[in-house]
Amino acid sequence: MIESYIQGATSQLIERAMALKGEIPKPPKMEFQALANECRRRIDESIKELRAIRDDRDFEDPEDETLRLLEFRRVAAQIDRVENAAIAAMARSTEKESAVASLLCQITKEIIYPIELPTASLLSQNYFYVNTDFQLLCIPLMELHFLLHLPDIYHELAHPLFRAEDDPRTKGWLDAFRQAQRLISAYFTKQLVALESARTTDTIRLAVSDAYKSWQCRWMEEFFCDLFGVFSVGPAFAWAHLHLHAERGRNAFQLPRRFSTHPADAPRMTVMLDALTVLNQGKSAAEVETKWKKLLSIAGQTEPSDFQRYYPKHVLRECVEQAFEGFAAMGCKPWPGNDTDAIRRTLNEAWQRFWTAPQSFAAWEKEVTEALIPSATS
Amino acid sequence: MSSIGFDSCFYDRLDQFSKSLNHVLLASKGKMDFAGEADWSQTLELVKTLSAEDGNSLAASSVAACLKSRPGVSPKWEVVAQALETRKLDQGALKTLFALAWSLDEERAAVLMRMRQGHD
Repeated sequence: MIESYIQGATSQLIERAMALKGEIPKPPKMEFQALANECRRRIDESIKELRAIRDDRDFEDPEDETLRLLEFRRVAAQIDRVENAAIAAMARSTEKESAVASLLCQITKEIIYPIELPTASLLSQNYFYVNTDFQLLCIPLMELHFLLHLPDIYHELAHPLFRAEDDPRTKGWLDAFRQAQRLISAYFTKQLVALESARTTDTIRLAVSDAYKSWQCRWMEEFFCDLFGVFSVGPAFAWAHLHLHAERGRNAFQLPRRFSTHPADAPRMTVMLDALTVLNQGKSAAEVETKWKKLLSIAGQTEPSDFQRYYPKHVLRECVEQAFEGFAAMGCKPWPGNDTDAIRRTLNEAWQRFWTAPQSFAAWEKEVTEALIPSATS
Repeated sequence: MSSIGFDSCFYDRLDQFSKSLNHVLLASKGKMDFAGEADWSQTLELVKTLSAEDGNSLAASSVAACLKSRPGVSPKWEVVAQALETRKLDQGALKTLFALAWSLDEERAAVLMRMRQGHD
């Protein structure tokens, strides 16, 4: 069965991959050149791999067939990614993508972003995210018309830094990250040893173990991306977090679950407030904290008694200090930067105006957005 | 917040190690053309990270932590690492690496599905 299946399915997939190249817009827009080249390279590599799987008849024993199937599945997924993540972004792009590219360029100049810019797409159906396999930053279609969520772009800009290992431009940041990982590892190792010898429930042991794995696998990077955001754009980033939580967040004190991708919103805010203090923005931190507590109170969200077991405050604070050293070591320019930094200053002004004059904010925002990102909002 | 934000950053790491391991396994079956030096070193890096509590590579540490979440008996990764270093994979090492290849495949497929659906 597998021989016939592989012959038929790989041949079809090779046809699909070749046809995909034809879907790359001709000529590729300047801002999509890097992405188009990457797509072409990956398609060529996939076709070569598929031909090798299909044409090598020397797959005889069951283990060989297993491998053949595993490789087929992997390459099929690769082509799927090229089609759905990258080529779709190019094929469905409009002039607005050029405006986003220009905005990103300005943002990264202001903060002295240390590596190459990601490509931008307005194809996101799911808030902001970055596809690090294609260095593709995805933004929801209408988000450029509004200012309050835009600080989250700075968080997404931090993810590619973690894919630039062995690069002197990111060394300081990644060294800080590794140091923070060591701190959290030391903390959880101690916790797990203590729990082994203590009279406690398996549920708690499992939750601590899951939290530790989540920190190693995912959370620390998320915290560091938040910190990059605060160091780059200041209070506006913390306000955007409050805004996102108010609109779409789950319980801010959600306890760890298996495979949870993001830390809970409350410790994320704790870290952001600490970061603002490091930036000497204590007054802003106090303002954010007051409103954050009010929001949690209205939503009836309270901290469980053992919550800090999973998010130890003293370790979080040390992570903030480490991250700031790493940010500075990359040569990035922290908030408040220069008077001429139009983007980050506007994003902070937006939040000030939002709180001081909420009724007239929408009109002000429309006017400012049209001036700041003209071709995206026209 | 949806999981897509992180999964879109995690997929490339899973894919990278999945590819290298598949190629190493193919090489072990006599299809040497599939595996380059980078495939052997990346697979060794992942196995070494699985054998220790943490490793030096951010990508390997992150993927290893995600695989360690799986229940079941922990394989003897140190032995597999030694086999990879000498590039002599006996039946025991191959069995462990095949299981690892399927674990990576399963996690990769799960991440892809979550990204398509846009939620946990």
